[in-house]
Amino acid sequence: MQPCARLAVDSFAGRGQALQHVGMPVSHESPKDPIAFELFKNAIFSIADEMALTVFRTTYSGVLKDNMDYSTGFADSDGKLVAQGLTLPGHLGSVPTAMDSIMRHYGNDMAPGDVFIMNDPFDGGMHLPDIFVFKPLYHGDRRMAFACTVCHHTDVGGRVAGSNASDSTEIYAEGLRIAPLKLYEAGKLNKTIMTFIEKNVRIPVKVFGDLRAQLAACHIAEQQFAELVAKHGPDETAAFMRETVDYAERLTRSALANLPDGEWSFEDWIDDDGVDYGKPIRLFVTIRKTGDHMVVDWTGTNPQVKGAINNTLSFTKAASYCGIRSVLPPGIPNNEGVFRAIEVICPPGTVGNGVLPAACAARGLTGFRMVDCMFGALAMMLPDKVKAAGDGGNTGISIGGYDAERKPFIYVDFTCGAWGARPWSDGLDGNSHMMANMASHSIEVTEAEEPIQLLAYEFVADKAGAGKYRGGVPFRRDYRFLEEEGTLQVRSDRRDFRPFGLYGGSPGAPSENYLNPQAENKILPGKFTMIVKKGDIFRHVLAGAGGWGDPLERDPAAVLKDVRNELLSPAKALADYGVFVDTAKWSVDAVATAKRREEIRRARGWTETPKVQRHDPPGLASGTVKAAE
Amino acid sequence: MSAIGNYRVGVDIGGTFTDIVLLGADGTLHTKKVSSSVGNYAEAIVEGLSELFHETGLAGAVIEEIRHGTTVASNAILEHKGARVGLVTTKGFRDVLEIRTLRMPRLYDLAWEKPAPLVERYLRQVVDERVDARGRIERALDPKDAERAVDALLAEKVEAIAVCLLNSFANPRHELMIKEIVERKAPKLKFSISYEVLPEIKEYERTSTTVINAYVMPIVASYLRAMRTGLDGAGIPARLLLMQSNGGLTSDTAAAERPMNIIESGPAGGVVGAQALARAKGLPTLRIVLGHALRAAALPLVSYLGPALAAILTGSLVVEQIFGLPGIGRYFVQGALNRDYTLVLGVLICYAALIIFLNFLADIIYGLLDPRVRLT
Repeated sequence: MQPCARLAVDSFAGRGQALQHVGMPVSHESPKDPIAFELFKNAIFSIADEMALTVFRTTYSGVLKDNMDYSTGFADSDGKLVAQGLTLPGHLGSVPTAMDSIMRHYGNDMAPGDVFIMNDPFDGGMHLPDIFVFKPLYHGDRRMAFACTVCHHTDVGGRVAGSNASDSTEIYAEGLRIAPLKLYEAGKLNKTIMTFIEKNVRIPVKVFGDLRAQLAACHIAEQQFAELVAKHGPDETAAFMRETVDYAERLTRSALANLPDGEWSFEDWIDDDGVDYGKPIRLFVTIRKTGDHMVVDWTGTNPQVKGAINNTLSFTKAASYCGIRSVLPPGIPNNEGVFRAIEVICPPGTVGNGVLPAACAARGLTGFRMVDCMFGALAMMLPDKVKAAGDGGNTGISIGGYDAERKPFIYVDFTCGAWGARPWSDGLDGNSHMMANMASHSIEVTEAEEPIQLLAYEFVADKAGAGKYRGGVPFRRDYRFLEEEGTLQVRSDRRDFRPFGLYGGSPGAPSENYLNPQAENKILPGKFTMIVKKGDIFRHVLAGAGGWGDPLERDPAAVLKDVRNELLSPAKALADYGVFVDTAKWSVDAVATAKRREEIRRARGWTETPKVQRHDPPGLASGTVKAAE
Repeated sequence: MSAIGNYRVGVDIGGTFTDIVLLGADGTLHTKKVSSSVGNYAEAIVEGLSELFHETGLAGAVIEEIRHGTTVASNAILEHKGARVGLVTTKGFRDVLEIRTLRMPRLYDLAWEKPAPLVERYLRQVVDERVDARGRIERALDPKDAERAVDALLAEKVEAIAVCLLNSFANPRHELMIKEIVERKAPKLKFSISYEVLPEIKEYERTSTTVINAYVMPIVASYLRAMRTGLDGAGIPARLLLMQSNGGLTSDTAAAERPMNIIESGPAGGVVGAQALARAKGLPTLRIVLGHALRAAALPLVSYLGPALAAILTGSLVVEQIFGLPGIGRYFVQGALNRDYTLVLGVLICYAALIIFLNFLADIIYGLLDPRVRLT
């Protein structure tokens, strides 16, 4: 009962402005029947999930169908998030901001049958491909809730196919900006908006197909919500929705109260923005925790940059929540209640909170890296709970152009897969980043539908950061282009600044991009847009993930297993871990290993284990690998 | 005492108990519960049956068939106690099985562990070949390369080999080449070929299914063999049928070839059991069959019959011609031969209307049949 008692005392202070500015009375009453509430809570989350499934089943594009880059949600009558059917943590925080914008523009100027559409990053959106569709849900004349969907669309126009380019320098180059507008007014479609969209996107068939998927999801939500209201009555439904939010707040606060109080900071760098090459971009976070309240402060983060990797505040919030949610117990509903307990600050005009005319199409990168930065800070706070840096979040690859009949094609792929090592186990090999739980495209489906052939999709040895627990092993993907000519656009990172290792763990290997690896093997930068011709092969190798703990403490049997599986060469096993592997008998020479480990330990001369490593520790550099060979 | 072959036996094996039900054609029912014989599950079945025979005075020959649901395959997967499998796949795609689809089933879970792949990386061999998405061979498989891959796996003493090459659903030639090599080099070894197991697009799903099939093959085969031997020894010549994941039955020899089909036999048996229970509770069989089973089964039929009916009505020219039946198809052809354009046009409009109407009808029937479709 203690968390509840405390909540009653400081709930006004903690709930912050969010509630006060809409003037909603704060109710401390718990609903009378906890069982009915539990059933309602599950019902409303099921609706959000069913909306997500509706999009999944009815979408036209691969980026939704296979990558699942979309989210669905449910807000109360004031636009406060009640439930999010999450397929993508990166979208948590986006719906409230977008809803705020709708409420600001329209307030009570809405009626049954209205549907809102928007994507403007500077008016509630995230980046232009993410189009929001909202539908207010009514019971008679009373507005009860909003059905919310946000989907990443294949293309929204702009200078590069896919509307994802990282090297645009202002929002105006990135595509169609849609301010909060009524797509339907009292059930009547606004053809002007549809025509504007149709004439400004490369593949209207897919965009409209996906918009219809969003509308279908809203429709499903409307039907099911009506059933819920019919069952509980409008007053009880509203009370339950309020309680769902309060419940999440109570859970979040009681979980936060269990963490130590204090202040922790962490910094990390993005290589560059793809425009000002070689100019690193600093991310800096400070976590302040007192009692059951937490502040995530990004003051000190780099000013906004020319390249298209500027976040909106909503995405910075999502990244902050993502980091914290990962150390909180599972089962906390995703809604406004969580946001009340966790305050996120990021000054306007920084990469974490871009202002007009910041380009932001490829801002995903910054979001991913902010999550890693959060993990760094949380690792200082909770050394045994958080992982080292992963591959840096997904690499975005778009290949677009026109075929011989001038029919456009766009292939958009987001791929990532190496998790940083954890204080209790190795990093995962081939698993999505926490911020974007995206599925991969099936290779065979890609080849059947796009003028692309995949030549490789496999792990690359000797790239994972060493440690007591090693970082995840990265993979490479080789794309062969089959049309006459097309545009290849790539957003990757972790080339100059490698994924850090924690508490003695080594950093992972940098990422790599090549053109035609079998022939000229030209090294390509991390971020670029270029013309590709028929037969050109683009190779991307993910960065290796960082390790955790002293590599000399790694179980030799685990090292042997990696060597046996060709994820680690015998030479690197010796250099990084001091382990002698006999590849004829597949065994470890224990005596030689103990001796070698002692040598490394002395040569290394650590007085204390380094908390964060961004470079190879002395004596473990790649030079030693050659010496051992 | 009784005529031959009018008893049926149902056997379900759990980790602790083995349940046996003996059902006579006249409705007589005998049941037996014995401790499961872990290691050789067949023992408990044979033993339980012998006891039943002893109690009832029946002989093995009265049994017509034995129907059996087993968790032996799913247990092997869950406990990672299946065969040591080697996988042959296309060069560049060695890790499809392990990378899976990247996505994890939970969000914000730092402690998530991916399930270990059923084939470790060093047992995954690649061959240099390539079939494109349309099934054209871009890079022919060198038999020597295939032999090398198979030899390497045999040297690792694998107990089964799975083969899944990229785009093999469109052209299985290379997979069949490898199959032939495996058969030649290790005639007794179990193998599973993706084209034979699941010839469908999507490499991860196909690879995974093929590997699982190979993974449980030796265990299921020896299990079924032991059971057959035990039954024969006890003088029970009845055929052995196994419950499949789809609720149907399959013979023991077929199950040994495609053990992937019996993995979910338990839950499937539950569904069949629910039907039996509904019947026992007094729901008329007609209602179960028409209202529940057939209604669901009719869905694909309706979607096919709609357009098919239109095709029959409009395209039966030959039949009409031969049998001298007056029909719309013949009418149309005659109109065309007589250059009666108005008639041709009219018939065409009729055709189109018919097709549209029948498709529409199919959609309506769909709405009536499928409980998931709701009209608002």
